[in-house]
Amino acid sequence: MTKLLDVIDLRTSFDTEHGTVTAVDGVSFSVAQGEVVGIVGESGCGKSVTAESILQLLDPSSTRYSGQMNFDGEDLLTFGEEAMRRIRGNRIAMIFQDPMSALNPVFTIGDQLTEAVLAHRKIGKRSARSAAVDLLDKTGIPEPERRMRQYPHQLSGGQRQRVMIAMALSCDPELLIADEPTTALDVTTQAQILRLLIELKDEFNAGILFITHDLGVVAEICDRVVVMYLGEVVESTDVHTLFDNPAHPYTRGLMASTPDVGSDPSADLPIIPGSVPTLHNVPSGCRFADRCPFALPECRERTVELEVLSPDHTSRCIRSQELIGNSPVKDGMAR
Amino acid sequence: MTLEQTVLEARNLTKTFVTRSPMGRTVAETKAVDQVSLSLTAGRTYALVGESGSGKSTTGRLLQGLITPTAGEVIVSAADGSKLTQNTKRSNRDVQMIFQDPYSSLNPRRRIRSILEESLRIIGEKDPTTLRSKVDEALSAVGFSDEHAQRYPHEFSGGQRQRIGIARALVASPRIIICDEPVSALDVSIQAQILNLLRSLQADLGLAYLFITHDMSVVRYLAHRVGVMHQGKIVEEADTAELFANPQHDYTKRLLASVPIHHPSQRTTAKG
Amino acid sequence: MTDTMTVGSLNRLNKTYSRRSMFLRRFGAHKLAMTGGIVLAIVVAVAILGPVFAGDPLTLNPSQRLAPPSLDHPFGTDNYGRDTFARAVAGARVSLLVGAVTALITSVLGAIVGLFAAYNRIADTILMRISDGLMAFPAILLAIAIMAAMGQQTSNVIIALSIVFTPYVARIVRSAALVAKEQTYVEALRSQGASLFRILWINIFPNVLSPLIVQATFVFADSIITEAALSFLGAGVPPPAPSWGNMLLDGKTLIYSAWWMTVFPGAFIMSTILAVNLLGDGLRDLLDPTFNRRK
Repeated sequence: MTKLLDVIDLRTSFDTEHGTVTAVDGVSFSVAQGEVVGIVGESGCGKSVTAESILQLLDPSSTRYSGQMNFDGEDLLTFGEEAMRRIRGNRIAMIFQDPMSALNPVFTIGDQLTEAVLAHRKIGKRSARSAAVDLLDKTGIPEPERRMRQYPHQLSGGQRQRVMIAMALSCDPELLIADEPTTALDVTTQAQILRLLIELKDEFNAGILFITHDLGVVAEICDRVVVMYLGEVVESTDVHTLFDNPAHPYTRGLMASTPDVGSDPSADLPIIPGSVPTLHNVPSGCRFADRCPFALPECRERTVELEVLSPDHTSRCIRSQELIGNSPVKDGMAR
Repeated sequence: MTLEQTVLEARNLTKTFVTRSPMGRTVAETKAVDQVSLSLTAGRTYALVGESGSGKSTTGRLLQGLITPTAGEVIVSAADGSKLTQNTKRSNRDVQMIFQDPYSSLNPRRRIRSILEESLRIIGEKDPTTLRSKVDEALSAVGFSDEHAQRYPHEFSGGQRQRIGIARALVASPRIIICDEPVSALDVSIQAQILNLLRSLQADLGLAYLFITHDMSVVRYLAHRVGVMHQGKIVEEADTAELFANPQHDYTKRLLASVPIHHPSQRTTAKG
Repeated sequence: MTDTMTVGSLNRLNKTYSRRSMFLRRFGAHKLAMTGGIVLAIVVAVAILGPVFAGDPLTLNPSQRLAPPSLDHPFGTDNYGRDTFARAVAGARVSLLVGAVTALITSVLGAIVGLFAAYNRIADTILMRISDGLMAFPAILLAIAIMAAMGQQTSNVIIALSIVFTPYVARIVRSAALVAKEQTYVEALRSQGASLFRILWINIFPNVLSPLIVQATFVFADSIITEAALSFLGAGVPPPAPSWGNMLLDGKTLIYSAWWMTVFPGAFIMSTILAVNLLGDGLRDLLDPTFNRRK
């Protein structure tokens, strides 16, 4: 598979009132054609900023990027605003968590979708409209003709997300960035949307970068996973290795603390103690050490680098080798 | 506190929302809750599950007394055993609520101590020593100290705010707590902390919970009994283990089938 | 678990500053607000200390009529030989008094009306239709009509201006309260059985205070202008009491021969209004929690 997007050592920092914060700190990963890569982590881990950095959607006056983002052989960070505009919604499309605020409430679905098609294809208005109906049909919305005449508020959350997907597909993108696209939806709708994304990915042969906080969603749709914590990649591997042999204590903690069918209802859930520090208080040494049940004194003393455990598995922990292969639930996380 | 004691009973609750045109003509009637009956038991958790729009949140608000039912009644058994309905102007202290959004559920302009004292002032407590000691007690029950009480909500993280929300409900010494999606806005690593806290409080204080959620894994872990709501009705009600092992209603089956998997090997949607 | 929590929040604690010192720091850094504040402070000081160093604004001195600015009379004299500087300083007292008292009255009334309108649909319909009616008149015409009905007195100027400006304040408070009302903490209070008074005044009111303060500064500026306009039209503060509007009226016919009679009171009005508006704009920025988070 060819690498579609190759992000190398991306750093994104903001100027704030209390000084500069680095929300994404040396992140590297790649997405190949036809591949679904998940970036998973909690709020503040930098997963959404990573997604927005790729399209450079952040306020340019206060944001600085460094590193490389090679898309189809060219570094997006060297592109000017005009060149980026041609990339956005054209070769790279994005769908968001909240489809309501991403749609304009005063225009019909048909108007907005036709507009999106016209922006990318040199065709007449009438054929653009029928292309729009086809796209809606592809996303599995019942009665696409009728939906075309409706306004965003007349649709359910799942239908709006399908419209957003149709809009993203209108340009036949090579890469689709999905930022928590199912978080606001009901579980039954979530399952449908995930299935739709997989089908469309195969049909369009696009790569998908899937941002989520939900390991269940990762297990469902991703091929490869990047786990982020406080701006850094802490673990990165293929989805089966991640679930079979999680190597980083944070990944293991996330898995253990999610209640599932196997959780013992009479016992307390294993937890990750404490809460995520703010980016203004990034701990020195290993950033997870204060919450980690395996932390050693030296974890706090030196910066921990990503360690290569196998050709396709990296983890930012000095004890990865010991942890790998043991069940996360038995980690004895503090109560 | 005797276990297995019914503390709240809802009988045939129905709530119809009426949309009116500006001229006052009825445009549409929506039955948000349709003939719902359920009972809450001391020391037990009743989970109400369903998708958005199924009427589960409206049911929670009906039980709390925030909105009045179109038909049916809610009976709360008071501590002395006497039964109170809404008509007899029951004390709100018996039923407290925990909300989904830890950010907007705390007044940004008031300190934590004053937010908690407010709960007591509302039910008529004025004595400063009692206020102080009860607030301290509730704060320590959720793991906070006096130092935290002097701060404003914005100085806390989402999970910490949710614990303050729990303390606000606890401080009035309720017997029933209605938890409206209390962990769905929190980070995964924080959810378990809050769930554990809720469970240990229940064990210590014999609280009855109505747990409104769409997350079946949380239900499985926390609930004793489950009611599945669909289009305003409870379509299935059973003990938790029974419901998961042997779902009867089509909708329950669909809901269980949509629960996120825990390992990629369980995939059904895509190629492996 | 508790230990690590406390460590986390103590770290946070070190990073946060008390609200007040934070506000003052940011106020100092906001150049426009700072300029407005300083100019306004000078005008207020001049108004208060005026009687100490400026002469009597009412003493007639026919031998010194229409004298141009000099050491004795730094702003010159008017057609009755009264000292323009003394009159301008005394006029500052009148203007600032009218502005401040009007701002205070409209804030109190506006807060009461706005909060009740936000919370009760029937009250909302009635109060907002009344305010629509009041706002349909140009402010100055309504003020003239009220003055005509009540008689020419400084206190009536304040009453007239309060009636004119209360609807504007009430609308601001109402919309801020409508936003606050939708927050979950209000639902929490209702679920606990809190009374309407408790919800409105103890819990919602602190959340509408910032927009209220900002609006009050604009009412302050607007009432100074409107008072000057009323006096200029002969419907405001009754002569011979000095007021900037009266002074402009007196100077109007003599503007080519005695420019100092118009220029100095005009400059006072302009700098005061500019200062108050700069201060108001600055406060709007500073009190808005979303402003300036990312520089």
